[in-house]
Amino acid sequence: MASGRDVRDMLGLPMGVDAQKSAVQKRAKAAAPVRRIQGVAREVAALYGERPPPVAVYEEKKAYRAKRQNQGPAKKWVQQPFVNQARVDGLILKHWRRKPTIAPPVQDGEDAPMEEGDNVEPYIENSGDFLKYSIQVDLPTFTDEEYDAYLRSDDWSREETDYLFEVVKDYSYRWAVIWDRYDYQPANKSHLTQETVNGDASQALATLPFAPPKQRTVEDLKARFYHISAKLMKLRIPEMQMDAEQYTLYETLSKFNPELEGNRKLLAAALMNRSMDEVKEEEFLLAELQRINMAANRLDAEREELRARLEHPSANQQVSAGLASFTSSQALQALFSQLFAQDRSKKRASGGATGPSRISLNTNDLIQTPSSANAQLSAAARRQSMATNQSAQTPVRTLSPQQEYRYNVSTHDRLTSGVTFGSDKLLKMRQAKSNVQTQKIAAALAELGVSEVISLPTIKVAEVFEQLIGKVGKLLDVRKVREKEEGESRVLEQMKQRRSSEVQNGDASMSNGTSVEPQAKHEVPDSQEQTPGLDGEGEADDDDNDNDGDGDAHGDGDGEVDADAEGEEDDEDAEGEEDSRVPSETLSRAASTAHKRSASVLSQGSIQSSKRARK
Amino acid sequence: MPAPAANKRVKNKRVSRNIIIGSEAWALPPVGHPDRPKGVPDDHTKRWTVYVRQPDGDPSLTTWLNKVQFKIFNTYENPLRTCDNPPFQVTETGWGGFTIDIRLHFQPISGEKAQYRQHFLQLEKYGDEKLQAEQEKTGCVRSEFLEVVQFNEPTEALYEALTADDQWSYLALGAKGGKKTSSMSTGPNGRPKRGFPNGERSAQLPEKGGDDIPFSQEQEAELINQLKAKMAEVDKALAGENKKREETEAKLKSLREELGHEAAQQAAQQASGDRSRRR
Repeated sequence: MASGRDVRDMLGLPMGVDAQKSAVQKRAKAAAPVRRIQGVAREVAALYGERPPPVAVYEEKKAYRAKRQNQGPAKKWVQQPFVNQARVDGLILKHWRRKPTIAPPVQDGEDAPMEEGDNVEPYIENSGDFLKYSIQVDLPTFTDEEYDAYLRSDDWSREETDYLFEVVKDYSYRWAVIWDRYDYQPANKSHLTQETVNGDASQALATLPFAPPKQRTVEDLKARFYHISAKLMKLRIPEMQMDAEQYTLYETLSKFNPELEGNRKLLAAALMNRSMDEVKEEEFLLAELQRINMAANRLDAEREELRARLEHPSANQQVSAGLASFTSSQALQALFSQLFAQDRSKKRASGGATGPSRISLNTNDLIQTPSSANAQLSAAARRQSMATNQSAQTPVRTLSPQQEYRYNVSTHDRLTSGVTFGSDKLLKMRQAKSNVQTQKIAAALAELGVSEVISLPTIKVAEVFEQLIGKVGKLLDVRKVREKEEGESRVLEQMKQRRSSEVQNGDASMSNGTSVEPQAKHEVPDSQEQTPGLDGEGEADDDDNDNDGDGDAHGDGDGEVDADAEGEEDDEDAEGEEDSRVPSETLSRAASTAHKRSASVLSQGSIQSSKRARK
Repeated sequence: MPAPAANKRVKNKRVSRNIIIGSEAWALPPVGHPDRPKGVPDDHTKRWTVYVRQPDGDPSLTTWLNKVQFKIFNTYENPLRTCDNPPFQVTETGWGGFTIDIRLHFQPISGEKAQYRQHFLQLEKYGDEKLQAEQEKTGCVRSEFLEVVQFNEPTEALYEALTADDQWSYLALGAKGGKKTSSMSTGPNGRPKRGFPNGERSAQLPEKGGDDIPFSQEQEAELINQLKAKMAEVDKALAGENKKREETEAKLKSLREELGHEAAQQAAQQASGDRSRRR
């Protein structure tokens, strides 16, 4: 048998002690990479075997012990009194602090420790460290007037409201705590309560101010507080001007419903307090319900199917919109061409970007069997209808009224689409149907001092301006009517005067009294002189009248000078008479002034007229 | 959700936006003055700017406004000036005022045609004494008008854009640069400025006027009150006129009765004849 030695020899390996040494080395090498597990007893580590666990367990105490920092003697600590700046009452508390290193006084080195011992100077630390933990909550505030005007409540007195706010402030909106600590004692009633408790009329007295305090629930407290907050918020910022964040806050505040909240809590509590049996029963019932529903659905579906089978033809017609009419090849061809055209036009409209889905037709489709064409057709129709549905449903962004206000969006009944400008609208209002009226309106507005360009052509301004224009229009209308009537009455007045003067003239000439005549004559020119100023007739008329007046005055003077009635004087008189009648008779006939003149010059006419007057 | 269509319109809705169209003019230093800019013809006495902008803190103009063309007097070189991006303004020098045609080109999503506005370039002092005094003091003649652009039945795309919250983001972008943002976003009273986050963000007129806010709701209310006062005036005049009319009517009636039907007709004819002749 070949020993190991022989083998080694054959393989040409070193032998003897060297070999043993190398074996030892090998073992040592193999052992070295095995990591020693720290902090575990050797026996325990041995149990791990070849592979150590992926997560090693270390005893922290042993593994990481900080080095003891030995720097001088132990530090001294003292109980330091301090004033917390966050407190208002100045209470002095103590806390442990490292003793401040006081530099020992240089001159009396030995006395220093002694002094330090007995004179425990009540140094009070003024610590501002705690200031940052004292957070004041923001509370809405209100004045007495505001309270009286808006915040009164039948259920809450002013004092209790104030108390509530105080408590809310103290406990920083932690409603559970607030409710727990809420203990409102009306100030002036403590001595009265005992008496009322005994009285049998406690029911009636419950409403009186000295009734025992009400038991408020969290919801009551919240409701009151939120109500006031919302009111105040609205007072400070008008609803329309809140930004989105403020508005949501306002909404939550104003929409708080204590009853709902109470019910919710009640239900939640009930849900929590169910017994195991109840839970199981509920689960069972729910499962049962689901089962019943499913069965019902299945039954419905089966019935539907049955019905569809029974009423097959009519149902088919309904579904595929009269496909029956396309059974002949001719009709089908017509339909195809129609769809083809439609398809093409649609393609053109959308720029050919119809996407991968194939809704376009090509001529190959015609060759296919009618049934497949039908199928495709209905599919296409369905797709189309889906598409239209979708576009109809395109949700136009819906905005809350507040948002609409913010984005300046308004709703109107009739609008012509397009862009318009506010100033154009204002300009348009100034324009009436006729040019003259427009000018009149402009004149009236200028008289009022309304500037030609309104600097803020907003809708609100436009509304007011429209009213103004409407009123101005009305004013102008009334003025027009009045002017017309005035003109008419003036003409009538003239007529009246003329008539009366004629009557007087007639009388005068009848009696032939010399003293009366000048008076009567005097009247005539007077009335005529008034006319041009009064009625403001045409300029030609005015001139005419003026001339006449002059002539009359002249005649008048003549009449006064020559008291006797001569031929000439007669003529003048006649002229006056003639003229006085001219406006009433000849004007309406639109007689020319020349004619009048000639008439007045001719004595014949005058005679005629005087005759007529006498009649 | 499909993208909002550019050809479908939102029925019965109107979105309004306020813009300011205006001009400013300053006097140039006289010829020979060292401050006088070079290259300006000797006869030019003013430097002016005509602009279209939104009130401070309003939603961005560019949401709906694509570009603005200013048609200035045709003796200027290149009289049709186009501004593709804000600020929409043209600055020139000159000696006389004229009417500028301002053409507003809307964004393509609006599907609207361009619209003309006119603005007279005011170079000389104008207005009442107080205004003139201020113009004298500042040396700047400003003539601004508020215009309300109303998009009646806007396209869905435009509606969407005009009711989006990012219309104010241009303010934040413009204010980039560290420290400056805070000073820019808060006004002198420490409150956030209009249009900046937490500030008043609305397309309505600013609530309160100020030295640098030419148009506000306060002024609007004032204007409305003025107009209402005028209305009261008109009412008074109307009442007076009505009374007078009744009087004359009564008089006319009595006269008619006195003189008889024929005379009344004649008079009516004559009165109306007079009117027609006068016309």
